[in-house]
Amino acid sequence: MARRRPVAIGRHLWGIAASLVTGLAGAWLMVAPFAIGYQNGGSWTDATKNDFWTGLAVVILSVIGIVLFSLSVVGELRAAGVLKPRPQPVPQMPAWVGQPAAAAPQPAAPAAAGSPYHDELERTMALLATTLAAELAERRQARSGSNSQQPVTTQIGGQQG
Amino acid sequence: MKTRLLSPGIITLVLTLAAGIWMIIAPAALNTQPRGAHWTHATINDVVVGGVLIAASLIGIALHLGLGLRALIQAAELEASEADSTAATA
Repeated sequence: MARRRPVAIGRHLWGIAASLVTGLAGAWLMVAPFAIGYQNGGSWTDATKNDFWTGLAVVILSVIGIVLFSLSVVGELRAAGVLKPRPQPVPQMPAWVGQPAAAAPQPAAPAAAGSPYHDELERTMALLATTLAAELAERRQARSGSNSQQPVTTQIGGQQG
Repeated sequence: MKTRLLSPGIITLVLTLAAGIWMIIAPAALNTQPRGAHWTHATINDVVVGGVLIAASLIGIALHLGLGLRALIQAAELEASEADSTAATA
């Protein structure tokens, strides 16, 4: 029986939480000159301009971050089968379908179509993860092997002592 | 099965980290804080908010990377165990 893939959305939720905090900090930056009182009417000082525009940029970044992390959560849930996959559009048949094989264009070589990892960094990290997993499995096997022998000798030693 | 280490949202956290660093150095860079004088309310606010931005972004980035690496290891372990069970049944 195949084991179900674990749903790992915690990291995206932490990203949403961090974006929420930075968004609130950005909103505070925008109103701080007026709330604290270092901008008293008149034309805006340099400090006020800097706070307002940096705060606005942080708020926009936070909103984009929340949207992107939320999309990642939805993607993870879809990949794990919790949510239904998005319906794929039915492809239109090209004009050369039904004609002799010579008329059909040659398909391009599939560029890593079967590979689940698209970026170089992710491929490297996947390799690292596989190596770590293999090492962990070896250690567990070695430990379980030594544990199955260890109690006997310990017991005998304990009885003798 | 596709496991991605990084979400695109991590870029916004990196940019927010840069904004936090800017907020801390801005009073000196823009000369809004007189040298040698006590910090003004604007300077204190900028440094505190900059610190909050840096802390929140760093925590978010660290947790995202750490938990993402853990998920990659779990996925690799799952694939290895499935491959083992397939080889054992064959």
